[in-house]
Amino acid sequence: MKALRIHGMRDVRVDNVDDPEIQDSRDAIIRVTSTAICGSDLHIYNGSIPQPRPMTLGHEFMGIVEEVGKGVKNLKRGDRVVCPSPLPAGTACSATTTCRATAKTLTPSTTAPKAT
Amino acid sequence: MTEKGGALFGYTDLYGGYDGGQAEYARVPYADYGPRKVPDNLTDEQVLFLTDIFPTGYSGIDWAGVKGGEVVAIFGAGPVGVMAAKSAWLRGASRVIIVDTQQYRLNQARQTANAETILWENNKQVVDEIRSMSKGYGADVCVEAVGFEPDRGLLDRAKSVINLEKGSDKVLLACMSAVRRGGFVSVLGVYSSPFDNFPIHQFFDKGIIMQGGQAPAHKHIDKLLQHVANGDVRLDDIISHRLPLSEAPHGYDIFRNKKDNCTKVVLKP
Repeated sequence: MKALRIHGMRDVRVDNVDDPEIQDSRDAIIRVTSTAICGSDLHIYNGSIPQPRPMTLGHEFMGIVEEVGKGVKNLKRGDRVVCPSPLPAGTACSATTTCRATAKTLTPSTTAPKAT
Repeated sequence: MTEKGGALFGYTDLYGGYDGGQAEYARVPYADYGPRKVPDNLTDEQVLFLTDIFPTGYSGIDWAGVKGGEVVAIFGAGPVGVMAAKSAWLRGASRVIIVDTQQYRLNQARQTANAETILWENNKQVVDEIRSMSKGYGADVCVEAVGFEPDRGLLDRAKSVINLEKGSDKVLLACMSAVRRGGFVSVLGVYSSPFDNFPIHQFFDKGIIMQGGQAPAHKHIDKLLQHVANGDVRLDDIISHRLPLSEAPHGYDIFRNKKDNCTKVVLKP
């Protein structure tokens, strides 16, 4: 598939990369129908928040569900969805006091593991 | 691990290392928790900004507890600033003012957010104007929607070299000066490094309340979707450019360099 990746300071390219696959039972794969460039993407583009390896950018996107993992009961193939930009783990998060205080956005549980 | 916040899509290895959605397909982890179904009668462009900038702008107003009658001054007429302005009206603000260095963005903000506007010349001029628009007290709420990479003059750049600082906190400082005593400063713009000479004395003397950080999109998205569906607010009027994904590098260039009156780029994979 085609994806917009950051390669270095002010160097973004549309690359051919492997299609994403389900890696966890709580994953879904979305066919993106619309996505936007955010002002905060420019910090990465400017090199001010550097990214050492090529990575697909973009945290504003929506589309059609193509596939869901076994643990995803609320969505099915064909559903049209918007995807909130933060990635809290939701009910599986263990940092419960942080979750309660901040509606889960500041919980550290999703930052470290499972980087792909 | 505790030094870092939660992950974001496509926001570097610091924030989880997950690939983002500027692509034909995206892997969405925790899909049993995040994605929201949208009604078929709403177009992509009507709901796309529920992903980030609308909940982010709304958070700046919600943190401040706006409940009606407040003067809200927003620094930055970019997409987040305009979304904060729309949110301020939704929550009953009496006056919404947007400040920016770019006249074209102020013109757009007047159209899309029905806001009064101030063209930034310098800190003092902006603070004076905001005070004169708020009976001399200052705004009840200031929203920082710029972050650590504002438009800057040579002098300001020289100062950060001397101070060994990355970027500038000048917009945050203007917010602290323009807010009334006991007022609220919401920090939506990204700050990623420390600044010395932070005016802690002003924070203390004025009794300023501050909150910032990554916005809790999940907390607000359902009610904000309802506002869009009800027609209480329109989000797609900020889009200046629609491009195929193949032209995304051009989109980054015009957005960063404010070419062609660019305010918001939507990509179609």
